[in-house]
Amino acid sequence: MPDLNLEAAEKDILHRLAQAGPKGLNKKQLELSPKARKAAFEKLLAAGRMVNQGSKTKPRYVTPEFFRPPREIARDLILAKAKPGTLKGFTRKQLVDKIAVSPKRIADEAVERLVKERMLLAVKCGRSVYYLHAAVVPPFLPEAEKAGPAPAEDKAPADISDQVLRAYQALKDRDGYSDVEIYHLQQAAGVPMDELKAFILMMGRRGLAVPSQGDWSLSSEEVRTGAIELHGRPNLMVRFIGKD
Amino acid sequence: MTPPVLNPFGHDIVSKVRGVETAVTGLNDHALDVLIGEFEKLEGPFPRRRRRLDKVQLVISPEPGYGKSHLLGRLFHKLSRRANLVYVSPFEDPRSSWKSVQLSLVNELSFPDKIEVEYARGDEPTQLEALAHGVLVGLTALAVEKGLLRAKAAGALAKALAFLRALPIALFRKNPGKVGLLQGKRAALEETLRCFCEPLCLAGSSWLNFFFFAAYSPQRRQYRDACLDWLKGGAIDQVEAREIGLRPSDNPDPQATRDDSNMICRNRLLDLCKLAGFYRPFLFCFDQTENYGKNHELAMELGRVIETLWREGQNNVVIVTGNFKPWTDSVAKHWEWAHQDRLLRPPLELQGINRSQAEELVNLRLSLFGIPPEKRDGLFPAAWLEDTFSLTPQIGVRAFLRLCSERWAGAAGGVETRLSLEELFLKKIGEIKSDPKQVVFRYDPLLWVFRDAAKGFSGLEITEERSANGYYVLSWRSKKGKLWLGFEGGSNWKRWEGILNEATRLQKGDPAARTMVIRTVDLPPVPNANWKQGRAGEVRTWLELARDGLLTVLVLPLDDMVEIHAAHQIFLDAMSGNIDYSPEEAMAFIRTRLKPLFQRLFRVEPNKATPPAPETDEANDQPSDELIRRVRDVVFREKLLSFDELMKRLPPKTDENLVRKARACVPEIRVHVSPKMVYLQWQSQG
Repeated sequence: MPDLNLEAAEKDILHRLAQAGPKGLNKKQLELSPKARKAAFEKLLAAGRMVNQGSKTKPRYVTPEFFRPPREIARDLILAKAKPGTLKGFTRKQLVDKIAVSPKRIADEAVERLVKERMLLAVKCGRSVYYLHAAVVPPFLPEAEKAGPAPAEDKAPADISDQVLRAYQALKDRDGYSDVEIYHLQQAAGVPMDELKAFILMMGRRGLAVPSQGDWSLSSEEVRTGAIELHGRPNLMVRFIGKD
Repeated sequence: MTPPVLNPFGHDIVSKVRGVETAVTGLNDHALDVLIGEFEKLEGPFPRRRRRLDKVQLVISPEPGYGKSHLLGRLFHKLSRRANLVYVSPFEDPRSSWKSVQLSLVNELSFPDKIEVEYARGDEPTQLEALAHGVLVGLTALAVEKGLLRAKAAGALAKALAFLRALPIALFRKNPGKVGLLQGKRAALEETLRCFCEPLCLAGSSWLNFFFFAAYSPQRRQYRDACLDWLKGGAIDQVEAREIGLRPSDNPDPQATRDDSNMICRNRLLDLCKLAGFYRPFLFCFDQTENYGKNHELAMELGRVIETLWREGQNNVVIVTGNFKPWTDSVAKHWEWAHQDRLLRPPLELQGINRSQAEELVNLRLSLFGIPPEKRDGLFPAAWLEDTFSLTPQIGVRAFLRLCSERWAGAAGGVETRLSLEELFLKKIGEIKSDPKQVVFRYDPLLWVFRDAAKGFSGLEITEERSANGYYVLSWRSKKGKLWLGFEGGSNWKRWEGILNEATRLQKGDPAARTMVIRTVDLPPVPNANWKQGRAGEVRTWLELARDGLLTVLVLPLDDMVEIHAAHQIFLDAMSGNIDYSPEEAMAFIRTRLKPLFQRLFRVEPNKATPPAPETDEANDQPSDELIRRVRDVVFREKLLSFDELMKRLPPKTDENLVRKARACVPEIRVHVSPKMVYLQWQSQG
């Protein structure tokens, strides 16, 4: 015989979580003191219908569609803190302080990764190291391309597609590989880099372009300017494909 | 005890091509089909079969983690017992390239012929034994077909020949009379070789006798080891050579220089390829090619090796894999144009995983761990998959597995952080210890660790320089003086006489100089019990006296070997982009981690003898049926437990290495290695 109390408790918990969205709820907010609610909570957790977005000591529960890996959260919070709009530098302590991820080393790792990806610049001043958001630099450089990844917005004008695809085919025919570096594609096509990146993202959404990471460590500064960020990683290459 | 919760997505590097998981539908099937199609061009009735392909197969991926090694694993499974499968580990010394490739070949041919068998016991033939037998019966069938041998053929000749070629090795091993019969036809077999095989570097008779020994006398361990030493290009004892039936001229000079040894290995390998035409082709897979990009000499030598295999080798398929950027910028660009022209154009390019394949992969991994469907749907809902593939129709397989891993770890209340280098190192140690065949003498990891990893050790200057005959390939200079280092896998007393002579010459030139030859515990002891009389006995005495300041023979114990192999593999993984650390980071860690090993080596006093490794009794070296049954029963009952827990459930003083071998004899037991523990999981077959 189905336990109506249990079913009702499950429904209510899921409803509350849906309402809370990505912010999630802690145990107190889920009101787990009645036995049926506690049992419902355990059942939903075991079935994977809700997941812990927080830590073991400070759990915060969300439904699976709102779950984001802590590494991604740390990365976004740190980038937001680094204030792209100003020339203000931050120490590491300032950057990772109060970043709500656990364990703390995730925040430290995120800083290291962002420096490797050139999203943050590490500037040494005496014995101190300050971190700057990479986006603040280009306006101060003569004729510099914008650093950092392309925003995921679909703003490429349609008329560059012929230029880009012709250039892509020429590179592919010349070198014999389907994957080309985005930077070299931009050079060959003669289109602005931000438009090319937007075009690639648009084609990706349509299932017609496959960006890939390539090899960051072996790539020159110029090639790195062609990076498109996907899943937290810079993608330096692209392959255009036909629809399956 | 509550079984641990393993991360089903934690395993994202293929470290052994002989044990890859099932592929998802359609992923890189095109590349696999092309490679099999190329291979099939070399199959067919001999001697009319095609001997050489048009191109060397090049497989490229845009980034690490697209499944190159997995593809090779699938190919191995498809071609098991149709090809002689050789996975070539990267070589570190361009002047010993052929020695390294031949060593890889011999190690690979020592694996069971059936790829699904992880550890060969009893009558289970190795690839070498199968090759030897296959060539002999193939030659016999051809001799009958061409009238060089008369045989009573019952029924149609073609049927009889097919029957002959299909005769299993076990039939001959159980019937010495049949072997004798075949040996009686030696003259006809030699004649067949002369007529239908391209000229060999060695005498046909030597090869035939070698094959007879390798195929039908595996129980004669002393001669089996001698056969392997000879195949690796080493000199063997004259008595052993006579017993096997090798012509004196085909037994290398024990004091051959390293360069000569390299050519000997090249010739051995090319001869084997020609002889394989009477049975089945070779498949050579050159993986982790990023390592050759370390310096242009290594890269160029890879090109020369590939070119030689293509041009002078026959009956082989050569596959080279690479990641796009390291391949184009660091390796291929150093090749001569003619060598680049051998490569398949355009190359075979691997695909990323698409959405439906990703879903299949998630289901596959979770079902292996017995995760119920409702939990799968909760953790990896359709909406998440849609979102993951919203900006691109394909993602690299490893990149996708890492996303899944993060999600799994987060949902389990833990946090997915990348493993530290220490954790990766411990995991590698666990993997190597779990696989008995990995811990063998290998020149390249040893050279790498003492040449590259030891750099920066305080007060030590390392130079890559060779002694006149090439027995010593490195020098370490410190305040204590100069130490010449060599790495020797051979056990022939004459070779050691040459090594001692060279040590004496070096010390004459520099009285403060010492020499050290490094060996590993799996090799026969030097000096060994057979060096009793005559000149061999004198060399034995000399070697013992030489400990007093001339030559130290350092036998690395098992733990050191495991650490060295683990360090080398971590570095190769970093070079290939398989781990999230740069080669520089990996090397910095390795130098710190191996510091105690180097400090111990520095403290080795010249007059302190390294105790010889105890001779192992072959019978006690194999797991018994009883042990295998016990291991199977425990893991079946527990479904998932650690290796340590398994040991507790076995009788006290049970040898750990035997238990590992016993585990390898049970195909249903899957090994999961974490930095702190090795877990064994029962997985039903089929």
